[in-house]
Amino acid sequence: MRAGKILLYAAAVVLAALPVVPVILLFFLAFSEHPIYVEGFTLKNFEFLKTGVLFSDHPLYSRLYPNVYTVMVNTFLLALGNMLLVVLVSSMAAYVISRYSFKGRSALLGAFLVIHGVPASVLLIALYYMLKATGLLNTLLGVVLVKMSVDLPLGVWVLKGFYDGIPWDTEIAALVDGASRVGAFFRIMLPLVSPGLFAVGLFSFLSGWGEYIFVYTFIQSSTNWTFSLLIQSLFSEMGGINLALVAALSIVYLIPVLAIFITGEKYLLRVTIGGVKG
Amino acid sequence: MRFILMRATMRKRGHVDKMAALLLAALLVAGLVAGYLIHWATAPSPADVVPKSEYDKLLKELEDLKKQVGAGPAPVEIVITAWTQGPERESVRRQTNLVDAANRLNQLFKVVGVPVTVKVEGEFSTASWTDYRKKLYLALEGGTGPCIFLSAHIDAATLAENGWIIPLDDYIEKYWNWTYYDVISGLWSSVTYKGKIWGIPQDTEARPIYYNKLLLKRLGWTDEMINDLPNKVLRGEFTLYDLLRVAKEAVDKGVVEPGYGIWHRPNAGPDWPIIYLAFGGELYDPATGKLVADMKVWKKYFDWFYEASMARSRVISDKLTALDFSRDIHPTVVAGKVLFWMGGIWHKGQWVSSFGLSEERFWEMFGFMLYPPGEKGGKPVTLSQPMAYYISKTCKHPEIAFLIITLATDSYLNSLHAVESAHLAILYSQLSDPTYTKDGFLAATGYMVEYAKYQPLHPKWGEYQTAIFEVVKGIETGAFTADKALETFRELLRTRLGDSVIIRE
Amino acid sequence: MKLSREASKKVLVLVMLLPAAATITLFLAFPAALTVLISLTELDYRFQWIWCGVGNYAKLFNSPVLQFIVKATAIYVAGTLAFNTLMGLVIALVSTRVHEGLGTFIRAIWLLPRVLPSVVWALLMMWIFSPLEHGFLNSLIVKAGGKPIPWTFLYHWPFLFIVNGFIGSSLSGIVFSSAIKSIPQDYIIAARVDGASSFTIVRKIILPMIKWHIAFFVAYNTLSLIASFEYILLTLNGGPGFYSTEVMILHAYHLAFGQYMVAMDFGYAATIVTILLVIGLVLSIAYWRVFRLRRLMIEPKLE
Repeated sequence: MRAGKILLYAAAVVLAALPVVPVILLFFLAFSEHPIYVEGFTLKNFEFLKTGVLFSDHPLYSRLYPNVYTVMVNTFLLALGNMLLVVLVSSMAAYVISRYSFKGRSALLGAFLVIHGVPASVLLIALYYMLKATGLLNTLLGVVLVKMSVDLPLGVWVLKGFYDGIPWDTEIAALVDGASRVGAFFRIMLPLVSPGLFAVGLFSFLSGWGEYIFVYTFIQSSTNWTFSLLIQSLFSEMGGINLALVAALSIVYLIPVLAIFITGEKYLLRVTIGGVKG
Repeated sequence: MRFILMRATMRKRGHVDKMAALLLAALLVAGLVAGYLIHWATAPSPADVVPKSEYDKLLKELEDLKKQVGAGPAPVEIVITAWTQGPERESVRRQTNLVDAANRLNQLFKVVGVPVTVKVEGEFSTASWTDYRKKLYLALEGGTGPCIFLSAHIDAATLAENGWIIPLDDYIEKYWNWTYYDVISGLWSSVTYKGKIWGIPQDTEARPIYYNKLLLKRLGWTDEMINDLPNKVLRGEFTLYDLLRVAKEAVDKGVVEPGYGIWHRPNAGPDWPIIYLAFGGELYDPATGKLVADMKVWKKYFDWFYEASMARSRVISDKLTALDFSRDIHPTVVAGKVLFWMGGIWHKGQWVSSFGLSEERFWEMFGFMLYPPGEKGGKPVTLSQPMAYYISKTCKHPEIAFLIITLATDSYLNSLHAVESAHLAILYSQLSDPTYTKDGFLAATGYMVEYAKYQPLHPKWGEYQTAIFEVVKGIETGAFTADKALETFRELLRTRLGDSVIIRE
Repeated sequence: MKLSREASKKVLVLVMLLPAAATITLFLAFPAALTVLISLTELDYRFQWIWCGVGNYAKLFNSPVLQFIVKATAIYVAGTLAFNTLMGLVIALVSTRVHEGLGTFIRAIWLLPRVLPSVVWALLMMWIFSPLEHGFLNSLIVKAGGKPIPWTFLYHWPFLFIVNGFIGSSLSGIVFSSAIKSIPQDYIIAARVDGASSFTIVRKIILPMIKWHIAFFVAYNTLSLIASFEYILLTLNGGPGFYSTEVMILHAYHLAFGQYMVAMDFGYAATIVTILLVIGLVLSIAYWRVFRLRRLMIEPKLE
């Protein structure tokens, strides 16, 4: 029994360490003195943070890559736009779906479920055509719209769960007090599902922040690049030459992700579960 | 650095008093018009060298242009957009030379009295060719493309077929004596499609096989033998199978690790047909305008790769196509672990500038030669893929764009590009330009151009070339024997190219 | 004038639902239909609609690479699924049997790869498992005096299972854990009193009681794996070798966006996507029946 217990805990520790190890290695690499191997400690790989210019010591190469801060702003705009739109649209839709019975309700819910199951990347070709036809190709707005519609079904399902969890009595009490349905929605319901809004918000922020495939496919100009494109492009160019720099950029890219993960992990868990159980 | 300084001085000149500015500008004109008489860049000459007749001729040539831009006395600023591509960073002068050319054009306009200032905007891309072309084609198709852009000469076919670019024959004729008489004549055919010239060559290159001298020495070769290797190839005494034999010997004797005998690029690209050409294959039928696949020659091609694979001679690694160019391959070649590297001359530029190989070490470690012929007594080959500047159909000021390209097609500017990025000259005058000639590597590889063939200009060539690569990948990783490879290749060509290709059995 | 109750309800439903419904129709349903249409054309980088009937489908079924991409898809889906399910079970079994704080921590920490940007995760994996000496694992091996191992080359499928599996296992781990936690403790205690070993308890009690959860996860995960390719694109990109890891959807992506001279063969690529869409739809309907998902859609009782 005792030996079994030790074995169990040993397994638990290994299991807990597995996903973190790569990230810790990334930190080591980012502070490494050697450009490819993990060796020593230095801050020199983070020098680009001063001006945002990569390879600032080289007059020609420094002009080849977009400013890191421009890239950061683009990434932030994508993440923020995605978050606001998903929260806004899904909070309204989920409320109606949770509280009202209307024609096409189950069809809509079913559509949300199926769409969430199949990765939206299958639609890339058609979306590319549509964005091109509407002039939204190569714009961040186009990517935000696509990204938001892809993240929407999950948001609706998760928030529906939160609305379902609020007893009718609460809402009825507000209505009895003379509030309109709309008034009750804004004053009573929204505050009550705020953990849900928060969870969906965090999730869609992260999802926009980390997005690669839509940005890579729909954005061509480097002035509209996000972090994912910059890092991927540098990794394939510089991987064998200056991996530490790529790692340092990745660390900067990861800061909001890790911050949100550590503080909002409980909420993210809700979304993950919600995504499966509806 | 030098180029920044140069620009800075140019800017300063603008502030000096008017007379001096005029004088200096006239000096520039002297250089441009009579550039073939006097090397202005190296030996600035007094302004009065320009004969009056030349000046009048210039005025006349630009008369049309003056009318075109039409505007009143207030100078107009015209922005010309330009996109260029590496992907290697060393080739950034493809972009900055256009900027410098625009500055020169402004000086020229000032002197001749064209009330226009020109500005070049745009970006140099280090993305992969696939991504660059994607971005370019999309913009061209949507009518939002840049005025000037750089792409490979083979793209002329697709670009012209879609009506995205304008033919340049008339402009070239009009401005012939500015610089175009000086373009190495063989290059024009690389940008000619259906009888018209569509692009202005920007640079050219050769794709040699680099050999590692240190490893050959460890194999028991004397310095003499090593240095004579390129000549043996030239004489047709050293064939592709000899190459294989030497590489196999190196593997067997442990001089290199198994699979490190011969390395080639890991992805689709222009290099793939070279060995087919070395076996005497043809890719294009001028009579019908169709691509050609001579299956007898392709059989020899796949036999050779099969013989080289890990299943047989263990010369070409089965992992090779799983590697990344910059991440894995260049560092390994530079570290001296590969005996033969089927590369391009610009790789030398990349190695020295980005991969920590010193100039001395390069010469100590590497030699370079043409691709040996497939059979004894055959002719060695290589492949050149010139880059070209194109002008898009939507460009509002094609003539000004053309003038910018014309001024960028300059011995000094182009030599700077050639030396820094290890590309070959496009102008005869470069061959005697000290900027160019002081580079020993370019001098030593220059002869290869005579043996260079071009890829065919055909809209479906990309798919043909990708199919070659895919099948070779299959052979090397053990999925195909030579016969199976040939069969698959035939099927791929049939399904993907349909009647664009003539398959000769 | 006051609207009737019924009318005001309609307006409310409409207004609040419209953005979502419009988004879904415009960006998801419409493109799905458009994909099917594109598959019947020769649409390419010139963006011209040239109808060609089922020509593209004929081309696909005659293509010598079809067998490779189908095989790769099957291996990819089956292998990743197996990894996700088994790893999920391990996470669930271990995390529900250790101290609760540690268990929660394990489940939480496995979410990390899932929230990491895909590009960072892919570059980490490529660096750690690089086939050359400067890869992290190989640099350790070389330091210890061994010979570098070409990881991504020799073990390309296991590599991809790991890359994708660390993302997917968080989900299965969480689902299975909550299922195990809902098993009444009496059963397990009773079995233990009867002298059953831990292994027997897992096999005879726990697994049978969560089998529906496992089935649901497998079903759900199949649907999402069959059309996912982001991590393959970012790591092995269909290689090494001849279409060895080129799954169907990746092949479609390559045809549409990844060709060297940018043919942008949208029409042909759309045929593969259409086939995958049909498979997805059929599977969804089947799951709907099997898992009685209609339960999830019970109409609200009050209004």
